[in-house]
Amino acid sequence: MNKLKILFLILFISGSVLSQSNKNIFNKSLFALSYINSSEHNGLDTYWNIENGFGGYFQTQFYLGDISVGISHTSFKGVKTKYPDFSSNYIYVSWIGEINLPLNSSLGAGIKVGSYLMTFEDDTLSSFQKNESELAVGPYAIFSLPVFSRFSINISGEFITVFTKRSMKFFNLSAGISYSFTTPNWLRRVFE
Amino acid sequence: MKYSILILLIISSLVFSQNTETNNDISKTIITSSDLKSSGVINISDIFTLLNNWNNSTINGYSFAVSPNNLSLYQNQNVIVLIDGQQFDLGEHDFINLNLIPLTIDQIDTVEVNSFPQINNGVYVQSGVINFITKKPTKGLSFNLFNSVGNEVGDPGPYVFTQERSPNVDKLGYLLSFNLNTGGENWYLRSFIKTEENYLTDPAIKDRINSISTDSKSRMLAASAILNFNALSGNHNFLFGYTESDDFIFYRQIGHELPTNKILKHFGLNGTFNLTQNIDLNYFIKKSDNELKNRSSSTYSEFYEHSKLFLTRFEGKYKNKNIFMTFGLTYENSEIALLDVNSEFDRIILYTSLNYFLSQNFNYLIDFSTTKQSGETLLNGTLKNFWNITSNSSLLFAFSYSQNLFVYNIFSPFPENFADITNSTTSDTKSNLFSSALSYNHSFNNNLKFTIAGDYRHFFDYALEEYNYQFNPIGGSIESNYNIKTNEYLKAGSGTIELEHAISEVVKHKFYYSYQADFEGSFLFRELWKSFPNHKLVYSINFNFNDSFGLWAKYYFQSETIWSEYQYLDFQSDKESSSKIKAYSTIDLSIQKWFWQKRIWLNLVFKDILNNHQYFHPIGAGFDMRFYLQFHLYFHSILI
Repeated sequence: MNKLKILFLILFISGSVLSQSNKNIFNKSLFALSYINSSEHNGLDTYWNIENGFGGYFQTQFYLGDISVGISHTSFKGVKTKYPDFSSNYIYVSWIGEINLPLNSSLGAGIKVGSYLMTFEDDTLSSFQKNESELAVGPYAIFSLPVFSRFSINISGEFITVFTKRSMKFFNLSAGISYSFTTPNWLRRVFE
Repeated sequence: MKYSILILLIISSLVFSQNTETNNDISKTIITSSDLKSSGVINISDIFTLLNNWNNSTINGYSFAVSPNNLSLYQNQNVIVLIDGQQFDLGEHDFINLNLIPLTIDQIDTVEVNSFPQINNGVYVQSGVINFITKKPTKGLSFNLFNSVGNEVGDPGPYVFTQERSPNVDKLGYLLSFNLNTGGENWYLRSFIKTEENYLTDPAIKDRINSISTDSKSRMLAASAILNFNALSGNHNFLFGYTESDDFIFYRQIGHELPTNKILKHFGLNGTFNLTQNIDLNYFIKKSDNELKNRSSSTYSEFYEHSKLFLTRFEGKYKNKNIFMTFGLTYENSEIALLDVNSEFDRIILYTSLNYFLSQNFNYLIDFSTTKQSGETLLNGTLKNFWNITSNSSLLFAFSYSQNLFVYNIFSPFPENFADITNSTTSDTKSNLFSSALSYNHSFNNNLKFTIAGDYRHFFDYALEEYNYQFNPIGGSIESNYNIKTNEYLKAGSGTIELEHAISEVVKHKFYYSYQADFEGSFLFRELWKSFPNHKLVYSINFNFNDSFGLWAKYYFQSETIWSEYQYLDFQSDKESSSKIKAYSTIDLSIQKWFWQKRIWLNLVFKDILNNHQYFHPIGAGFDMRFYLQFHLYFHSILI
């Protein structure tokens, strides 16, 4: 029952706030690239070692906060040959709210939701068995510091829960760079 | 009994009246295109989940057994499905797969659902009619594309390669459709094609499927063409529909699925001639040809069903300031072939409907139809009274009496069983239903609307199928012997409260609660009625931030249901399955956004975000949290 109350509380608050702020929708956008250090905390490391990954996303202003779409890639190496290597591509949308800090820096927090796609490297598997996808959700936080013109350095941390039968729980620490720009009119028209 | 009810109908029509507006009729539901979009409907069959007063049950997630407004059991489904007023025969028996109709939701302008027995498009419908009204294309050339994918959580992921492996769960289908339209001042032509795939890998049904087929996917290809034109002082509509589906259809008689290949063909022409300002002549001619046989991957013994239906209907309509009157005649000829057993029968329906506007605040509607079928005469009648008590409150009072011939689950994989059952019938196979409804509607202001309603049902002289399923652990199959029981009866009632409130231009929400119970009846009828929940509660909230972005959430609760036909399941399946479906609640969430000046529409849908493992049938698939993404692309009037 508590889950239910929280959900509707969030819906009411976000709904009423969102309905009041339409001012800068899609005015500014950014592209970002990041290097990802990932760790898993629900036993996956018994079977696979996680290698470092990378990701990129596009972000733009929304009714409240910013919205983004992105992809993160990670590789997994089996600790034994019977566990096939696999790679994951996490395709997500996210919403983030930010507060401004000194030195034009900012701190943001939000939530990501997307599809966690896994491709297993084993030629004996059928195409149906080789590919798997599952829902993934998690909160994240990001610190951003402008360094040169439109470029900023970003450091972020995120939790990802992948809803497999035995869930996979990742913590990703990322560092990267972003480039911000005024959204061109043609792109604004696509968003509107 | 039946004569006294008819007399009651006629007397009531003289003393009661009703209001000219029918929007307070709780038995009618209008679902608009924007309702479909905002509530995350993806498959056509998801529409059942928007009908609060319909009970539904599903084994595979896309074919449903339904009980519209407590007007039937889950046996012998006889819901009528229409496309632009043309009756579309899905050839279904125990479970209705609405996805077989050659449309996707982006083609639908409005869905009209009627859940009280009355004449609808020339048919007296005892238990529910769904009319899909398609969008009228704009002038010039237009096209649109629809694509959706879905998934259910709980897959094994990489753990499938370890000792912690678990079974894969259903992928929730892949749906792709394309629609090309062209239109002018007085005509339009629409062509449509869709393809759909579903994986039936849920543990609850996987073993049954794998024991009868080497392929566990279901597939569908459907196409349609609509030509609409104005001519001869009227409007005319030609519809061609074709659907081919490889599926696993559940048959109650044998207690498990069959690997089926189904082909539906529909040719129909309907229209209106406006003879004078007051008189219209409507017509409908249809030919359908439906075939059902083993799919190519089947390892099951051969079966075959081929049904052809020819239908023609003419109806005259007269209207003036106070009266709206209809007279119609329908003739149907059906041919059914089951392997080497053939049968043919005719049905003639004569009907009339009178809508009388006594004053601005009172009107009444009386329907009457008589059907001649298999040597029997069936009588049906409805009276609906509307009364606008004040400018913001109104009352609806309705009665109906309807008769149906008991229709056996006519398709059996073993035609000899069908013959045996036919021989075992009693001469009196007419089922009778008396229904009544009372609803009061009050609008406190433009933003708050309240409805309270009560219904009463009296089923009598019913013939029911009695099943006692036995679970066979080998292949997880369920088997049954069954009997036909006659003279079954039941009295049941229900009460409903509905509230609709617009908090602001942006936020609107709705509350629905219903309670239903039976209070007298034969043993079997009362046992089967327990498969409907006593309590149902639905709360939905809709945020429309602007015409480009919206959020919708729904909370649904239903109380426990008991399926007596599966009473042995608990111990025979070693508690893997149960004859009881516990009370459950779910929350669904839908987020929608238009892009590119309303050319692209994206919808992200989450169903059961609390991730409660849900069952909708004792031996059906269990569902966890599911998520879908649907994509629509629209180009209107690109060449005028």
